[in-house]
Amino acid sequence: MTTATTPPTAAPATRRRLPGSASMVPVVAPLVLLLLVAALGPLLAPYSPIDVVAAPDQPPSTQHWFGTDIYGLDVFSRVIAATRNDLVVGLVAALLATVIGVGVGLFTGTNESRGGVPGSVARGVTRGLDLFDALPQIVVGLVLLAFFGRNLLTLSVVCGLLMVPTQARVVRTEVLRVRREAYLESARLSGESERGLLLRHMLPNSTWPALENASYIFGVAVTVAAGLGFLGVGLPPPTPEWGAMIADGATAASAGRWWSSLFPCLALAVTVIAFSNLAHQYLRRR
Amino acid sequence: MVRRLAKPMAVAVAAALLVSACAESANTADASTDEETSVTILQADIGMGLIKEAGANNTEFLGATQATLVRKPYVESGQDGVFEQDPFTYEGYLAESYEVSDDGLVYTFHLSDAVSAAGNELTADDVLWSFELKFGADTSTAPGAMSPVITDPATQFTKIDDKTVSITIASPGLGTTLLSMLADALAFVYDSTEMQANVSADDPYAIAWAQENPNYGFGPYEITDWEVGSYARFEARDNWILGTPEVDVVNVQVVPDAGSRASTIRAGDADIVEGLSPTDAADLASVDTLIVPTVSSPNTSQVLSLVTNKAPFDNLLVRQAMSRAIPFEDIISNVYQDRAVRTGSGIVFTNTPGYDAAGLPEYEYDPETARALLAEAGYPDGLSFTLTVSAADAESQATAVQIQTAARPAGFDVQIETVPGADFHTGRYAKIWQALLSVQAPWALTPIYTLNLLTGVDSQNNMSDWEDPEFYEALAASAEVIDQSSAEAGAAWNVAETRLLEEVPFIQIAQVQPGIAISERIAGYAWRTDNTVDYAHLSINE
Repeated sequence: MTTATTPPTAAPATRRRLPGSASMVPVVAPLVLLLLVAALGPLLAPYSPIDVVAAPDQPPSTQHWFGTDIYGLDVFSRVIAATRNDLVVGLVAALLATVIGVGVGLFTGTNESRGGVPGSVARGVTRGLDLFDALPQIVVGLVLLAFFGRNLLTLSVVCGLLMVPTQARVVRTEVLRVRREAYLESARLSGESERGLLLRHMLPNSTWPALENASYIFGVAVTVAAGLGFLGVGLPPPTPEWGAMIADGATAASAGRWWSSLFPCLALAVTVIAFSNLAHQYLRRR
Repeated sequence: MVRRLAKPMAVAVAAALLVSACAESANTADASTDEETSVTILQADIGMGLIKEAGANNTEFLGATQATLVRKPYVESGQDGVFEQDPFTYEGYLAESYEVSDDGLVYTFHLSDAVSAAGNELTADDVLWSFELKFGADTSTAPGAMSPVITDPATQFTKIDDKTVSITIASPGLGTTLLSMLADALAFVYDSTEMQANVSADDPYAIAWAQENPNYGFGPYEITDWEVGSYARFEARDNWILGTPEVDVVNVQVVPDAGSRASTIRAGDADIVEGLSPTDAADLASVDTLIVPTVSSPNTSQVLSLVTNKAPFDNLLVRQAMSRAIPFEDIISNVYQDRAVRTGSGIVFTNTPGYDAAGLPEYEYDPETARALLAEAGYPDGLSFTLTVSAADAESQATAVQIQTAARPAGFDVQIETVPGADFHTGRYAKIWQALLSVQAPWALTPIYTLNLLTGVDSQNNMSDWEDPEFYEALAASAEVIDQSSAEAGAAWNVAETRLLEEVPFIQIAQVQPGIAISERIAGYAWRTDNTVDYAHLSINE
């Protein structure tokens, strides 16, 4: 009996997996490409991304594939080099927002219906997150960067902090749902401590949405970093960063010199779409 | 910051629509009233302060509505259709004439019968009140800017009679600078009758009142309509002392984005645009129907200040090394698209009568010498410093990038820091940075003014915080020469300038051409040291 049932189930399973893997190629390929560009950037860039290498505002040519910007910097080399900086911002921001968001979400979700100090603090934190989330991210980012200074680390941390409310809210919602699950009550009746409940049951069962949401956070963080760069409060010039590059080329674009802002625009768009698509695929599969 | 905030495409469309609407309006006026002529000018959003002493102000607007005792005459430049102020000659304006005492210390002005826009005739009291206001108002910059020529109007200004005023100066060598200052926006003469009728306890000089009531001056135009940050309409006065201006109406529109202003005049939808970037100005210079002025000795210059109150630029050798690490020619061609000139390292204008350049040190890009000087200064492996620029100043940012690249082989690791415009102004006056790039444009081009501008004792403008007794001694000796256009004066100024260049508290990088374009429909554009457009000198080409 057992030998008769095994072979038929193996083949369909393989066939079902193959289309799924194939559908992931358009999702994963841009991400792999971006990561490769970020990792190999210095090897791929034909010129130093921070040195003047030619006359400014030169259109795309065989020497400068994406042309030169208003400073005379090679746009192709800068788009390549900016990939690493922007992905680092996205990565650090996603990690930070997720770690802090999970902690805050667990705390508020498990405590806000309680009385006493923990309950009051949890409700206060939830309202505080709502308030923080209601403020425009760019404005809050401007203030934080003015306070902490402008470098890759602070920009990443600021972008991460801006995303904490989103992650915390996702986890809190999930904790509120998990708290009503029967297995949690069973664990409590079997003598599990509150700490054990939190770490062994709530944490693994309520953080998956936040982990899946991290790729969306990644894309938003990159966009926010670019927005801050566009406003001139991102990384100091001439550090390659897509938002600052778009801003530098914006006035030239209005005069017909489109290349120095178009290519970083495309790079930013591809990155955000790629990571958003990843998040979308995860959510769809769930 | 402004440039970075711009959303050029959207602004371009909005500007084109806005200006098209205005152009249509002007044309309609032309059609309905045959004799009315109008000009449309596009400006950046530079504010609309309507009295000089309010602090932030629009000097061009003030020049159209106000007048000075004397003025610098216009002469034809080497470029067709462009005039230039002769910055070293002065002729009567509100004063019919003036005379100088034999000792060169007393200047006596005989006032004309000019009538203000409010209808009051010019008197000596107007001159005295105006300078009392300039030196009494808290927000006035005149006391600092006019020192050491005018320091105390109460003792220096004397009313001889209703139509005669004398001004006494401390040293005869200050005379040409006095005349130059009296020809500029700092010295507008106001209608004291009108203003004094509107003073209050909270507004003892009627400055707040003047911000809302701009037609109290003796200038060629009055403002008939305006909205801050948007537009202003000027109408010619029939009773201006020098006759009725040829252009009846000047419409000024604010278009914040420089690229949009360039696109608009290229499309023929404006007569004059101001505040162009060097790239746009260079582009528009190739358009046959436009004039982009190129003048012989522009007074706008980019300056790298090396702050001497802290390391590393408290070390003279490091400052001298820096003077060899600037790619002057690259900056002129790459940043300014060759719309800048460099007439040596000095800051005294080389077209000054009696100018003497003998023996002046020259700064040239020489990274090897720079590296050797750094080693001698104790930095054999080079050094790092922060160069601060204003986020509102695109050209300074571009220059900083050029310096960063070129200074690396010279041993300098330049970290560029951009700060918001307001913070930049605060920080540069507080001398808190190591080095900074700024733009200077002295209105008075006399040697004593230009040499004193960035070096004054305890002056906010002394951004390098460099105070050198030997330099000040040479400066004082130069001011004692009565004939400031003589070879004797030139030699005396040379001593002071040599000392300045040897000490390298700052480095003038280049003199920048005006960022302005004029339609061929317009004649009479004249470049001025205050870099504003004189509406009264414009006319319409047939």
